[in-house]
Amino acid sequence: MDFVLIIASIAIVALVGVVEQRAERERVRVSGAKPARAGHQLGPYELAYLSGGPRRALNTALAVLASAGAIRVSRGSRVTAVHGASPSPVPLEQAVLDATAARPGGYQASELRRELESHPALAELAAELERKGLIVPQSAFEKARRLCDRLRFVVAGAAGYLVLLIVLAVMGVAGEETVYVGAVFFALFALVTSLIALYRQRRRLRNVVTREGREVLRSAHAYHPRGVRDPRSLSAAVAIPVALYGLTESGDRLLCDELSVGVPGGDCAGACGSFSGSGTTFGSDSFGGMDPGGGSSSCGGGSGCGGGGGGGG
Amino acid sequence: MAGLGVGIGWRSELDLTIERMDGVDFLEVVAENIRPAQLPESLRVLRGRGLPVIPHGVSLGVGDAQPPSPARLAHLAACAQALDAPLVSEHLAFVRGGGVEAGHLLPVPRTRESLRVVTENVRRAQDALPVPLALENVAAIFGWPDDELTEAEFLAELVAATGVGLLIDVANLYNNQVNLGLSAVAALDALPLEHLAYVHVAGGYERDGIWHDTHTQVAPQPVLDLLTELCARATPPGVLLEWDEDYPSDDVLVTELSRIRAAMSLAGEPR
Repeated sequence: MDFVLIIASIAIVALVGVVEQRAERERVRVSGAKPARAGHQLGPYELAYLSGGPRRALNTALAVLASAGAIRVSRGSRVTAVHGASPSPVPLEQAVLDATAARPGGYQASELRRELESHPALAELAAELERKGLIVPQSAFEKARRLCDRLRFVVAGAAGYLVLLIVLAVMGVAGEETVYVGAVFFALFALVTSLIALYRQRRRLRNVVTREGREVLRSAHAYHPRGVRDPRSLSAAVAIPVALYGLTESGDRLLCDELSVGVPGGDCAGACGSFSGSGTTFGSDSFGGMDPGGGSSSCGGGSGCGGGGGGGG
Repeated sequence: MAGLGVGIGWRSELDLTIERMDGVDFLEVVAENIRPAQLPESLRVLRGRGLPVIPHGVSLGVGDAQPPSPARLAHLAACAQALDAPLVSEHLAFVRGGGVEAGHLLPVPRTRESLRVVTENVRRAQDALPVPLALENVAAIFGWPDDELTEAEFLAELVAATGVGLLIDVANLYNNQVNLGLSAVAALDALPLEHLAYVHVAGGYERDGIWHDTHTQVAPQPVLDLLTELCARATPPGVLLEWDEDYPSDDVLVTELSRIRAAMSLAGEPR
């Protein structure tokens, strides 16, 4: 009996691997569709979303607004409103300004990110990137999602099987041979790996960058290498570096430290110095979305970082 | 009192702002907002740079009819020690009586009898503190009907009896002038400014003829003019900007410190 059980356990482990592989293959197939090779004009927030999803876009907004003096970041990762700050024409920046202004005492940065993660400004960024073919539309993943659902059945099956193993041992039907320990081990292994696979696949199905999107990002990275900051504009000094590389590139170690609290892998050791802007150049002055001047100029068309599809890839 | 320079009230929301701000010579922290055994990291950083930090109490109640609470005094003393502060400041205010908290820094009844009680309270506080004590004039919202002395006279007698230092809030003098018709310049003339520890400057707003001392706006020019008047009479060891809530941009705060310096320099040498 125990030998039958260990074979069944190993079979479940194999099933987990097969189902996850199919889900992964489907995801890769959809996200690897051939680029349309159209020129793209991306603003810093689109680049941020493309690089790191809603969290990167929000961190970019936080770093820009804090560097501009439009919000205040204090120790303990607290983000508060600056009284008298000008409104921003950039919807995501304005969302941050509205949220902090509406709550005296402000937010923890991580709390603010959670609060705004489903804000329409972010949904609009995602929709725009979908329209440009740079992230995969959610609808394209229907089959991959169905495969994920299958993975959920496998999780349930593995859990049920583990319970069955225990029940059989309690009833005295199994558990006499030492291979029973192996059966339990493999059943447990199957349960854990299927749970991890489910979590991993679900996460990978969010904000999936298309091949074209990856090319645009590669081009952006080449055009704006890590560690190169032009302090003359807030966009070049803060927005684009943070959009492409994360908070470590905000140029402000303290700001990075405080905004990174609770961010997995948040390490600000590389950030140094401090942005010396006058505090008035966020919003339209510097990069009101597709503004050809200021920050966006370096991101526009085929000549800049956004030209990946057109020839910069 | 050694020179403190120009400072700003430390608030947790402003911690990094202040840490990065040029031209801040000293700080004040609301004593009730900190635990001496666990000072905020920012204060430790700033102390490490050598900036003096003055614990500023808002609830001791030296103007109460009862002696100040030993526990509150012990807290102020512990704050002074933890911060290695050059002095501690509090308000000449009535804050509680009969177990009831006023919720405001109310003016003390300025009678001879009250002066005797307050003098005793101040002496007790001085005995319990490891550093000198300075008392601040309050922004009064009313005056007691049987006052025998002006606030300046009351403070002068208190200083003469106890040697307590003065923390003069020019915005509070302005508040009392607008709301109660008490001349701020006359108060400056009557105060024993040789016992000046430092000065507070703050903003507020006027609505329907009433001045609201909110510390949420830039200081109006008349308040800075009073600072100039004060500096014409004595050289204050320190002048400190207070700002509570509705914190503006770093630039606005830096500009306020510049306005304070400009107002001080307008006075020239004290008369």
